[in-house]
Amino acid sequence: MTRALVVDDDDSIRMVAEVALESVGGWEVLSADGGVAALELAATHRLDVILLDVMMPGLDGLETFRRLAADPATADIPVILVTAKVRVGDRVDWDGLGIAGVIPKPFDPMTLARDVSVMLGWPT
Amino acid sequence: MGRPLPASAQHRVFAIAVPAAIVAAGGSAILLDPSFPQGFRETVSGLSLMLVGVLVAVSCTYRARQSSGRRRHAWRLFTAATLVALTANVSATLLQTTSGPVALMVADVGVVLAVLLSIVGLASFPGVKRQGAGQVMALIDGLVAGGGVLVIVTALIHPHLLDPGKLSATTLLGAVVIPVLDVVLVTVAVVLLARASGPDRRSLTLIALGFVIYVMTDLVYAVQLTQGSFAWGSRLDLGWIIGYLVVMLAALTPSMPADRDATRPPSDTRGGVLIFLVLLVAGSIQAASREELTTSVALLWLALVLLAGVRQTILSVVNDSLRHGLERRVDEQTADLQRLAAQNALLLTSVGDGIYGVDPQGLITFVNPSAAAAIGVRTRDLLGRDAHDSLHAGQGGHTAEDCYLLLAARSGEQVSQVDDTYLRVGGQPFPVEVTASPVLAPEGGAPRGAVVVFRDITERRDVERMKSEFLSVVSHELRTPLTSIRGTLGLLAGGAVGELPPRVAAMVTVASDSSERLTRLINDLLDMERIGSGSVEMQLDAFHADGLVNAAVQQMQGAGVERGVTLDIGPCSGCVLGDEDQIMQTLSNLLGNAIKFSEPGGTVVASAQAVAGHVVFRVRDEGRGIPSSKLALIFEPFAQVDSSDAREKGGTGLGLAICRAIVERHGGRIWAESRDGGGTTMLFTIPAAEPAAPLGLRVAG
Repeated sequence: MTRALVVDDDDSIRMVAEVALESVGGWEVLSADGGVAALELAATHRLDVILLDVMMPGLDGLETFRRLAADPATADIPVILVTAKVRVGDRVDWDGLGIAGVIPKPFDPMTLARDVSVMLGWPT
Repeated sequence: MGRPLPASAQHRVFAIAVPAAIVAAGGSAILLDPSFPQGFRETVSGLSLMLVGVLVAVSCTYRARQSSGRRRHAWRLFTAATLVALTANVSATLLQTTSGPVALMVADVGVVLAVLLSIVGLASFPGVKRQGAGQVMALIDGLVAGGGVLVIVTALIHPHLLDPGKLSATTLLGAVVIPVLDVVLVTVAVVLLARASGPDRRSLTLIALGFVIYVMTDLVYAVQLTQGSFAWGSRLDLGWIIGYLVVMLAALTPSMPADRDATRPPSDTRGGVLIFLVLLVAGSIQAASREELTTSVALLWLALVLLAGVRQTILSVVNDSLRHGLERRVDEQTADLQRLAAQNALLLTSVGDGIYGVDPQGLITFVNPSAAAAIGVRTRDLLGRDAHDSLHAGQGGHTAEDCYLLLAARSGEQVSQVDDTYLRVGGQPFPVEVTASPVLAPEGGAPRGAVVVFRDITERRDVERMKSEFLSVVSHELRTPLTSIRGTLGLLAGGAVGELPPRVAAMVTVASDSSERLTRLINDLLDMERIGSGSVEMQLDAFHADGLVNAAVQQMQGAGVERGVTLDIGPCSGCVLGDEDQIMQTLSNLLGNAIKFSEPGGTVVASAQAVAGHVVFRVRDEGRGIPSSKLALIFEPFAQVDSSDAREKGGTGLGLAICRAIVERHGGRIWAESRDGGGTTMLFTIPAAEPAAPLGLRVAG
């Protein structure tokens, strides 16, 4: 079963994402309310994908991503940024960082699992 | 009216006539030498007078045909006068063999008539209309000229004229009437000459000269007649011949172009000099005649001196009033100029924009206080300094050679730059908006320099940046709760958390749709701001138009299928230079609208056509169409053809406004063509990519 980690400081968004991925996608979902918690979970669990919010207090999304990428144990986990800073069709200057994709907020909960799968080249 | 000869032809005629007249006069002078027999000389004299008479008549007729109006009338009268004199002379010659005195009488009557016709002819010339003091002066000129000529005549022939024993019925006409009429003739000629307008001056001078010669001859003739010493064939006849020839030359004088002074009153100096000359000649002759002054002549002189004095006084008064008028006007205009200068100075010092002038060498010629304050120096510190070096140095990539300030001052083009950078004292750069306008000389030619207006836009930039940041933050802050709302409602409506009762499901769907619309609205508002303010940079590249159309149609295929509308691709040609994302956004937007406004089963066709430097994109639907009155309005933000559209079609009202912003940013144009009820075609143009564009053509999608 696909296991995803959802990282967002906003409880309700986290809840929506969890339900969307579990109920619609049939995935197993872990969630974290910040960068530090995310790094801990990533270090201790097998993860297929991390959905990472960008604007978070404390350790923000980009810094969290850098640390994930810097740790050989977590470097191979694909990371998708979920952010309200961009909108559909925006060019994102984060090319070269090694992120697997960007999903703009607000996202469609009914297609979220499928969209992530398409981005990562998984069979849907 | 005969067509006037061209000026060159007139000059040729005159150039032939002058030597011909001299030869004729010279020939007559030789043939009238006293060594020839009296009979021969009489014949020569008679024939010469007839010949020159015919020449004058022909010349005057020619001139009359070339002229119009009053001039034409005058020259016709001269023709008539010449013909009368000619007839009289011919008759006299014919009669001479049978009856000498009768012949003389006939000749004199003819001359009297001819002189009368000449006077009327001269008076017919259009003079320049004068008013008030000018009119009085003209009258006095006439009186003084007439009086002067009268003095001359009296001094010359008075003793003989007033000797009744020597006068007879035969000689009365020649000795009294003709001289008197001659006086009038010369007077009219002199006055007219003083008043002649530009185009007539040369002809009138010659006519007056001719008449003076003629009149002098007549006077001598009158004296000889009273003394009984007159005989035809003497050198005296030469006077009449030459007089005639001069009048002929007057008629053949090339007409002068009516110069622009023609309607201005002639100079009073010319009139004054002429009158003075007449009096001078009269006085000289009077002095030389050594005759006692008779009472009448003395009175005449008194009147002349008085009139001359009055003339001079009038002239002084007129000049004084003219001078005062001029002084007053100069004072007024000086005051106006000073007022204007003060106004300009006030404008320059009070405007908030920096203004300075440069000469063609780029040196600063003036600076207003705002400009000096913006740079951080005193006004006089900038004067005479090089504008480019002082304000521009090293900024904006300008070199002294391609600096647009100099371009304006040298080429005469107005140059505007919305994002230039100037340097404050100490080298701190600040953003400015600049317009350099050339100062053009009124008479044309190279510009004298340029006036440069600049505005420090630091604050505006700050405000723009703050606005942009604010919008960015707001949209982020709005999207975060919106993500939860939309997500929750989407999950509920999608049945992800279980089946809902039908009424609840319907209401959740309404809420879910509304949250989606709110999302689009926020996105569109942000787009509108970003494209409108130019904060999104365009990444220009060359694209095949068919690639863009194909990609956009593919992207919207799903929406088409959902509504049961077929999307077709029409013929596509050309390459555009543009931002792929933005052109795609425009095409998708137009396709989305076309799908929304099509009935199920309809077809939407997208195509592209290369046309003279542009590619025209078309999106055509078979929908209900747009009333012509609304065609231009639909590109305004939040404009909908029908107020129910927003609700039913789910649009934000910003789609077409964004399309227009994108297209205009590319340098293109967007518009709609529609027949009410007959479908709509949306068209927009994007500049074509140069065939030699260095950028590789890319296929969108």
